[in-house]
Amino acid sequence: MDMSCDDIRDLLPLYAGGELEDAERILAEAHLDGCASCARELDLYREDRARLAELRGDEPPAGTWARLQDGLQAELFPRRRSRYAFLLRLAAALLAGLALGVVFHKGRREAPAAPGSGTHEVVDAGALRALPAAAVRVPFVPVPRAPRANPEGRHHLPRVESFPPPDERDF
Amino acid sequence: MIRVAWFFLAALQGQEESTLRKMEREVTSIVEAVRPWLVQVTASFADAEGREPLHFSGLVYSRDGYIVTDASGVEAAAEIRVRSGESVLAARHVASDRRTGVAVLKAPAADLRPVLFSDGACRPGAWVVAVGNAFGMKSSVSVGTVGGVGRSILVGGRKYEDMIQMSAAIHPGDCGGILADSSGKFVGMIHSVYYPDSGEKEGGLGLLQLLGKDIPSLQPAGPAPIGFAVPAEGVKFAADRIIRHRRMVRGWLGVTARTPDPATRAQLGIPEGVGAEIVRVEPDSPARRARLRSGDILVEFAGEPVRDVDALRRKVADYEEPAAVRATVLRHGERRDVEIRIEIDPQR
Repeated sequence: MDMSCDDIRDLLPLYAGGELEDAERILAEAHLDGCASCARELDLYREDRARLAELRGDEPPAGTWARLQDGLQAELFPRRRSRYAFLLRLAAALLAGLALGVVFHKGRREAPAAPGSGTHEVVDAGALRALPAAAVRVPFVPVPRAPRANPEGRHHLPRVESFPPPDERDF
Repeated sequence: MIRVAWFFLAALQGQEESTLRKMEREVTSIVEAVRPWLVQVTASFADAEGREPLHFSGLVYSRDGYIVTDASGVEAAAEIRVRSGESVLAARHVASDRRTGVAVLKAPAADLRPVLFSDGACRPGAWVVAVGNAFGMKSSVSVGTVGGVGRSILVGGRKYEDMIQMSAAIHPGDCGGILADSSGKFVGMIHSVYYPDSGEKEGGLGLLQLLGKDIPSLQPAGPAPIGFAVPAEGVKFAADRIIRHRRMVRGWLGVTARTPDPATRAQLGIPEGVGAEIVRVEPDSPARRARLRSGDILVEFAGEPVRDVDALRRKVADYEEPAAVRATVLRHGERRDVEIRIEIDPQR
């Protein structure tokens, strides 16, 4: 089964680190040999890693992390337009409402005893206010490892990029 | 007598072979003949970027160990190993020809089986058998047809001319391998592959796209790849020159030229079968120094009429050392005599 460009991009860090299984590595190499775009991605990735390795512990400018997070969020979780999106959101909302209704209904049927019976738990309202805000949702980014050449090598077959005018000769 | 005749006829009928069996027998015998010519090549690099070793193919050019393979694979290699049969030999890179993509190696061998060259050139539609080391699998075979000859391709930013286009499937590792014709003779060295862009993936099920699944098996298949090979004539020209001179030597003019089209002929009154039109002149070249210009039509070269651009190119390439040559060009309809100093191709 051939790999698509999206498959390859997910595997690029592992491929560059020589950590793919043999079968996956062969498929990846076959794709990279035939796809100039993905091969270029691999080269760029390796260049970036090499540059990162040269960085020392200087503090980044203020706002760097926030901008990075926003960019990652937009790239990894793009808002997709789809004619089914509204219906799905509606369905999700109905399901959530249904679930809440079930929970609420069950909660009412299993209502605790009258106050003073000592069977329900007292919750400190102050403690509720002290709960932390909703955690920041950080998308998963595979941590690229330092690239190293695959000691086993790869199989060579150059790729034709384009076709110059057929009637011209250089000599 | 009748019984003997009947028995003889029955025996003949039993030996009648299907066309498919005959073809199979032909192809397998070609493969058996070609296999000893094929070697495995591994090039290792010692640069700071840590380039990984490359595995590909080569062909035996001479009994005493000259191997021909792909130039891009051995470029800047620190170590080259050649495997022939069970022997692994350390090979030396003698030189490469950048115009054909041919590299010549020398391995310490004494009794290899060199390729047998075909008598004729490849023709479109001819059957070919490709034998290489696809993904390291020794002597992998595929069969196809010649889709065209005289093709020009761009690989790694470099132009290659006169290439054979073929439909035989080739894979990483086949580069430097053998293309044989239907008589089992060498007609080309496997060079490169073109993967047509399948373009935007249309169709697919909307629901699957919505769910974000990208199932490759449900996507429409793209066009088949196209293989390219260096013709045997080009391999021989480059290999012989490299072995003789220890470097690639071919005459060089420094132009891009073509055979004039009918409109240009009509406008300038040039008959069919005459002339090569200069399209571009390279800077710092013999043509520039001879003050040749784009649009000039070369009609005579070294005392002989110029038939077309291919004939002129072969004539220039034949030079093995610099030489002064008289030529005649048509410029704005007027004949001009020029003196050109042919140089050796700088391989840039």
